[in-house]
Amino acid sequence: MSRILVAEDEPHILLLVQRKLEAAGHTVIATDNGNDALEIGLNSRPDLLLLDIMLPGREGLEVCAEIKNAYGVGAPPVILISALGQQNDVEAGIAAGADDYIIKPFSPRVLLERVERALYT
Amino acid sequence: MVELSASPLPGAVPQHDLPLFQQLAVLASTQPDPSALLDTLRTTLEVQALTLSFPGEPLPDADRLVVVPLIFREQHLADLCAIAPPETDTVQLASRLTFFAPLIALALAANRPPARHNEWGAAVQQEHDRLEAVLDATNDAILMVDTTGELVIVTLQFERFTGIPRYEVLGQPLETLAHRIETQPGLPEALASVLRALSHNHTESLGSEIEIDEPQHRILVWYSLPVYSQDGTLLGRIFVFRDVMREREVDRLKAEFTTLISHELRTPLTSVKGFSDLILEAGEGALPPEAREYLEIIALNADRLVRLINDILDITHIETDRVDISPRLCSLPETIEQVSAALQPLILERQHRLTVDIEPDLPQIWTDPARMVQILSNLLGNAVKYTLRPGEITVAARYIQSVEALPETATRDQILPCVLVSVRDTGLGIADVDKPHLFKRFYRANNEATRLVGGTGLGLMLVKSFVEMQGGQVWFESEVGQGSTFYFTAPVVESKMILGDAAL
Repeated sequence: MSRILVAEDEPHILLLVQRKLEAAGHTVIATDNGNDALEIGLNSRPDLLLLDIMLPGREGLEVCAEIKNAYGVGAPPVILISALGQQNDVEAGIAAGADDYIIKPFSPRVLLERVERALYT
Repeated sequence: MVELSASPLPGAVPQHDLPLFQQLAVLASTQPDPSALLDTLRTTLEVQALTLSFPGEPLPDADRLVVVPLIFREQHLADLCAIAPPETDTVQLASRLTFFAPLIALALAANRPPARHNEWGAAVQQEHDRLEAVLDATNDAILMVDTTGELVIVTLQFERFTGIPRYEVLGQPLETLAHRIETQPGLPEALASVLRALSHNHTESLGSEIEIDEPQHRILVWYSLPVYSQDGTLLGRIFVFRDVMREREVDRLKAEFTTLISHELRTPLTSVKGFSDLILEAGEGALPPEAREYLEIIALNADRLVRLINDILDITHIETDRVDISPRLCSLPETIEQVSAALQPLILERQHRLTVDIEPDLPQIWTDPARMVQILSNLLGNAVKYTLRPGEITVAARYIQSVEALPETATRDQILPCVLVSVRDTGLGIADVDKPHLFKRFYRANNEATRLVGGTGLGLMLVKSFVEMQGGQVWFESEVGQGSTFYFTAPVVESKMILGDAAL
């Protein structure tokens, strides 16, 4: 089972993601801000990062870019979650090195599927 | 009382009157008021009083009155009346007055008529003052050019918008203003071009938008049209400029607000939808059947709210011209396949029969695949939803190379060659009263079916906007009780290249 870092400042959404992932057997490290997410992400390499884009402290895009930069080729997959659903937002996410992009609101089942697809491919 | 007719008596005019004549002539050319002439003349002639008597007025009452008519172009303007002191040679006086009379008559005719005759002129002046006051109080800048190309109206706002003092150009040919605009920093050359291009055109009405940097940044929406008097005489052309900066700012704020609200709405919706889904995933038996049914309703409505938010965002972006269209070469059959697969559960539930009829070797089209999905899912979704009993739904696509190959109902000015897509249903149909409004936003036909079928009234407006953005057109045929057919076209751009690719 995998260690997944989830950064989301909305407590209910964080709980939703956490419950769904834990129910599938994953370990969740939860944080509500970008600075902690970056620190944890750099100190103890998680298997995957799920980052909200609009976070207090460092934004999701920035955390994603720094993680990808620090780990280089062996970087863990990063999935961005955001309410910004416009095409240019998605493109900005991909440009920051994200592997996938999930738009709010999402179905927990779809979230899990995409997390596992990113983990095992 | 002595009254003499004005027969010239040349021999009786003394030599010293000639310099006076010259003096009066100079005076007449510099002094608009003939009374100055009369004053000078009275002093020199040494008469008691020298006045004008206009036709219809009584002559002054005096014993020694000499009267000389003032005639200009065979018109009797007035009489010159002199009251002579005692022992004056009245014949000599009459002769001298007659000598000066043409000069007075000329001054009288050339200058403004005396006040009593000026009511008409005063009314015109008042009307002019009113018009100018109204035009200057208007927020729009207005220019008028008469048929000779001379600027006859330049309002205060034009001066404010351009920084060009209006009295420098008023009464001048339009070219003077055009040149002035070109040399003034901060004014676009396009403004001069517009004025020049239209100044000698007496038929066309045009309008557009122009941006000015100085004296202040403004966006001006302008229009220009020829103007006629009530009897149809061409008077010239007007140009009207309106500052729309505030409207643009309000539009921008509105769009920003809508975007913000839409994003803010997504966060609570994520919890509503996510937790309902989480409970529902627990599987059969884990929940009482009623609880499951209610949760399904909650989840369904959360989905509907999401669609509404997405549609509103799209509309806002269309209105503020901020739509992202990323066209690429697309294969339409694949998109149709994808959309009908998504609608399959509803099609099965309603027991409709869906036929997809795509011409083989259909060329690829240049389109934004995400938008094409939206177009097709709206049209196909409507066909499925508004066909209440089990019915026939047909999606067809044809390659069209000539106008004749289009259906008769097709809108004009189609770009050819194109791909024509039609979505036909055997559903409720559209009433004649609803037909003209169908593509308007938030418009929903007022009948039982629309109350039963959920919707926002935004779908068809989005379809129309997206189709038109990609150079196509959309229209429909429908009869109540028989069903509807919606058509749209998508131009096949650079057809040679595309056909070449297909051959590979």
